[in-house]
Amino acid sequence: MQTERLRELSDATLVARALDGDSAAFVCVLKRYSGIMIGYAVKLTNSHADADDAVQEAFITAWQTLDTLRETDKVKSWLMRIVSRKAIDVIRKRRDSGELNEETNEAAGADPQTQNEINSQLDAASAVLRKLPELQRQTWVLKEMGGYSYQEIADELKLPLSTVRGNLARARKSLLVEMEVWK
Amino acid sequence: MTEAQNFEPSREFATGAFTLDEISDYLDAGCQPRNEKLEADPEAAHALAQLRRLRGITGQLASQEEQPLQQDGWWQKIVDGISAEVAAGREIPIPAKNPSVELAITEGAVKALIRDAADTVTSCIVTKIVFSDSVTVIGDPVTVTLYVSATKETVTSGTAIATAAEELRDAAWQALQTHTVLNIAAIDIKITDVEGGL
Repeated sequence: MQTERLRELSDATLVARALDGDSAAFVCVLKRYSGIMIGYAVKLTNSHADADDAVQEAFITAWQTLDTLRETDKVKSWLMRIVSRKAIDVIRKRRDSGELNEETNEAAGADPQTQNEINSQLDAASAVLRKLPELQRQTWVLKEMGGYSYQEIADELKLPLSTVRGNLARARKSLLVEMEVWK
Repeated sequence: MTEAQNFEPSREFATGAFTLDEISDYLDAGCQPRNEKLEADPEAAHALAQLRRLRGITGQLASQEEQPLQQDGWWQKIVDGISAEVAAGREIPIPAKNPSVELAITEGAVKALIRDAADTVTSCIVTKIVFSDSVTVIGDPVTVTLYVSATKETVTSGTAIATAAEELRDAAWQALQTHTVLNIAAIDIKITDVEGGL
């Protein structure tokens, strides 16, 4: 089918076709949500390369488990949940191997002059988020963007609930302190 | 890691008689039941307002899109991975001149043929294709059922759905006659819904 026509179809129709073996319809769904999935994974992992990998793995898993998707019109939230899992896997692997995230350190070292040039609120929020220590950023993104509960974050990141609470509290405070400056 | 965990915001944030956690939990609960003491505390109320604003910004941040670093190769890897795992379905035998040779085409391949043909009909979209079980027996009459969504334009423009169905049946019939030796007894069309809803 012409990709243009596929692009106009609803999620539910594309998923129905994908379930019947139409891989082009499935790729069309993936293209529809790849941008937001990568955006989310970048915020979670703080690394574009890791985010690309997580999303790629999420796509393959989604295709392999598509028949478990109960509500075909909820494919977006289903995909977001899968990419969360994949990004968390990356985070855990990185933590277990004691690997430092270079991109995090680069961002943390951004000089004040660069900060002054960031004028829009969203860019400013993004920058603060990037500067947060890993655990604070991860817990914040999972809770506020991924919709995870405290307990779910603790389970996924294999951390005590108190650590999750503590990191979220510090992340919240850092973001609020920075916001006071934007007024 | 220890250093990172001890990271504290550089400045203090005034929250009045309440802790920031309490105010945040209050916001999470939808500010219900209403806490008069908190709402009347200027510092706590300011913190609540700022938390609300932060939530709004976070919502917008969450919908920010990013492109993959290397677009072409990245997508190709996904497309390859996915097409390598398309369910082939049952094997449909094809009569061979030499009886010692077994020929077959997969159900998935025949479905793809029908989809390609049916997609030239713009008034409706095929979502699912089902063959009767006899498809695995050479020469047996086969019924093909096409599950279809009518497009919104077809419904709103008043085009008869029966006409659309006929067009679709012809396209599928033509493709099957040209590319397969299946003994097609019938092509049933079931219009299940309107694409994207009305």
